[in-house]
Amino acid sequence: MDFLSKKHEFTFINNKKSIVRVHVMKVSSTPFDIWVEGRSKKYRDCVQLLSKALSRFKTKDLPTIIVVANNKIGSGGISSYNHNDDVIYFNSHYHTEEQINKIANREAFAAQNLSDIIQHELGHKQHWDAIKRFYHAHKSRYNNIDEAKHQFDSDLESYIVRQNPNYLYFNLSPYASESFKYAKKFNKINTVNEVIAEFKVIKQTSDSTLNKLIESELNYGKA
Amino acid sequence: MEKLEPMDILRVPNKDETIVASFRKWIASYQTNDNVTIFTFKKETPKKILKSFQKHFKLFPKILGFEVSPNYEIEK
Repeated sequence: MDFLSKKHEFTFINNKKSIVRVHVMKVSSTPFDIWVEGRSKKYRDCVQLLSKALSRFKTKDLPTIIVVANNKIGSGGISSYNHNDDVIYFNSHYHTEEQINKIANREAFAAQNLSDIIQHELGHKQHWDAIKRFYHAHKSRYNNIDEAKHQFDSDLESYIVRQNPNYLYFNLSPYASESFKYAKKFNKINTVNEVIAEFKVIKQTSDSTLNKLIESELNYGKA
Repeated sequence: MEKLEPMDILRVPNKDETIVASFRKWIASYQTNDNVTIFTFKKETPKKILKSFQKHFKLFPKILGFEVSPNYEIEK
């Protein structure tokens, strides 16, 4: 596996709410935009697994993917999307199919394999891309992107609130259900983020209204 | 200074979250009475799942925010 020697620094807030800086190098022997923190076998295996999973997507839909150490993303963190830098972070701890299957088999989230995990993160990206288009189209109405996001997500959020409290558990996933409940209390600006990301993995639910609400958010302002 | 915000991090489910998730595929239907959900489990639901449900049904309000009845039904 070949790497470009020039390193690039990325900064993010990890699973433990710490600010983390990583210095990563680009993998040159893959058609995808993958950057890694290390050159060890674990990272090489990770790049191979990712390249296989990413081949199911159109390259133009994929952001930069950065493979980081377990202690950087924070223990228990699998992957994440950073909308400020437009990058996906992936934990190098998950460098074998067995490890991926072990977490997917717990049935808490919709993802059943690494492609699904990438799809989950791309769901976040598509959501944020739509929010950015909405904000730029209505910049004069809002003081910042968070205000615009709150408005943008409001129809979907209020639709879910009007349903039975067990609605997301049955219609999407336990992970979407728990995340929505938690965000309503502690992260009000991001209540529907995981709902949308989980939806993108399962593609559609048995509720056509939910499907339409999410699709219309994601398709906002698309040419 | 660069803008830093918390990310949405997909994380490994813990033990309680895994238990709550384990029932989902065995539930055939449900009804709700006075905000309490009563599950009807599929006919072929393994006994260990039903036992686990009776032991852990209180995790539902704790983790997912809705009450479930310990008295379930089995699909006919």
